Amino acid sequence: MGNLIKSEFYKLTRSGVFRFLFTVPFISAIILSLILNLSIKDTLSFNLGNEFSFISDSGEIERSLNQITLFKLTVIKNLPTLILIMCILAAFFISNDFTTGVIRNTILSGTSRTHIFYGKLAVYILGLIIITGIFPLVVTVMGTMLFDFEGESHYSIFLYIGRSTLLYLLHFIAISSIFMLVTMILEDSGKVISMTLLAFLLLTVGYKSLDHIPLVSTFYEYSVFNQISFVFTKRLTPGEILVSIISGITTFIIFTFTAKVLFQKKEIK
Amino acid sequence: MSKNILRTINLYKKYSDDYVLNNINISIKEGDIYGLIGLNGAGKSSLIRLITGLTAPTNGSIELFDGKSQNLSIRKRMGAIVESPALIPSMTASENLEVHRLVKGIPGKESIKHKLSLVGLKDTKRKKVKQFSLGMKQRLGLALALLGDPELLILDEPTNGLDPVGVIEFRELIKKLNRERGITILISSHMLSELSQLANRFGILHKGRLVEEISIKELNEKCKQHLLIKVDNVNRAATILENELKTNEFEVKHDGTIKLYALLDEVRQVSQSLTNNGLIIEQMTPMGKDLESYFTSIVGSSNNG
Repeated sequence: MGNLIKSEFYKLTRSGVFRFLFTVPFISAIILSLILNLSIKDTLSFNLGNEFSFISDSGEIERSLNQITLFKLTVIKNLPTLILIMCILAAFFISNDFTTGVIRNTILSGTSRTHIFYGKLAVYILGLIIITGIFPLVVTVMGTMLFDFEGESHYSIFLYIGRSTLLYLLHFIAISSIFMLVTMILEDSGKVISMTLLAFLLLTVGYKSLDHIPLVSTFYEYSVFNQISFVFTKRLTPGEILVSIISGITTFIIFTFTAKVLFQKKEIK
Repeated sequence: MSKNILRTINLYKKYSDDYVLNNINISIKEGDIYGLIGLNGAGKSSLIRLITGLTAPTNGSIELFDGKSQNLSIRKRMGAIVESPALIPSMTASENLEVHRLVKGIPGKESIKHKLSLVGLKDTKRKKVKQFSLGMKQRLGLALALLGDPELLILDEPTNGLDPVGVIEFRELIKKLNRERGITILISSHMLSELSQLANRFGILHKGRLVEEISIKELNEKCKQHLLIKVDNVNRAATILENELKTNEFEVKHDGTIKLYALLDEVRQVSQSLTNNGLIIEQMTPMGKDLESYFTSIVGSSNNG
């Protein structure tokens, strides 16, 4: 299993798509941090309170910056963006192995399909975490270094960021497992991207027209797609945290298990 | 007696209602170069896919390395190219090998240089695989298959797309691997003339069935050009061939016929000598064919059957 993960990570780090998806947010994060810093110090003609402002999730204008604000604002909670990133990486990192036949080599090497599956899933999730995590991480770290934050204690910042990040990661991983299943079914990278985006569009339209039905709205409320942004609510009750954890874990188990069974029975072309 | 490296026992593979492999029993001994011959759709690739674990048999079993273990890890002792080499186009040759080296857990990177050198790709350096010719890709596929020094090498149509020089080089490399490293090789090809120069045993597949399993010795014997002679006194005919026609290149068969491998251009002289000595010639027919004719005749008779 360790060998597989090393091999998959090697492939990931040499993937042009991964490098692109990593570099763009990394550079953007540095530029954004510098712009914010310069604007706060009035070196640039930005004024955070007026022309230059952030809109929070609740629609309010954020006039002051601290680590929490920075972190909250920069973590990708926007579902279409997340789905786009996940399906692009799934298409180029997982599907390509089927398209090029490289998955055959791994099977021929005498490794069990279960190990191959989990190795691939683990590195896929790791890749996604790196891609999506680099932006908020760099902005928050640079923000801490560049700004003189006041107000929040370090303990509450740590608690908030820690809790939100863990719950976010749980739902993030659960959604990744859905993409693993989609890729196992469709194999072809083009199909993975087009079918996923089409399915997302249809589901969004479907939800908009059916959200007045209590069953549909409740289902969405507890689904990982809603929970992934809900976890950034400032105060979560223990009950809400528990529901969130159950939602993430259940989704992950169902989709991962189905994808693994499918891969084990799959005829490798 | 050398051990079985691979044995299939009553192997069946069915897709929907069609059997693509029907009761296949082949055995490959240590050190063999086993040629799998068959028309397109005969079941060669399906058989190789079963052996390599890419798909599961509908029925039957496969024993590897004398059947000592059916554990998956035993496949680590195999290397294979199935259908076409599976390569990552955006990587270089050595990066492709590195991916496979990591999967197999082979220590050190020396093996990569060595394999690239062995297949003649050591000078490709930063060139991406997508810029490789088909022949270079086949070579790299072979290098991948050889990583980890397998005891059994399985090659599915490995000379596809190679130019004539490439085919010869590939053949020599396979022979060298078999001769110097003792690697047992299973190779499928539709280029029968090519296989006849390489393999020492053959399995002829037709419509999912193993029509014949034959050694090169038996094949040569069957295909060797000769005169088939049937006379009323076979012992006397043998004496005449030895004493009068000065040849011992003949065989007296159990069915009372003689296979004469010499004097093929002097049929009249042979017939004259036999009749002059009072023998009655019942049959004297030039026989023998190349592998392709032999294969065609086998497949043809199988079709008729």
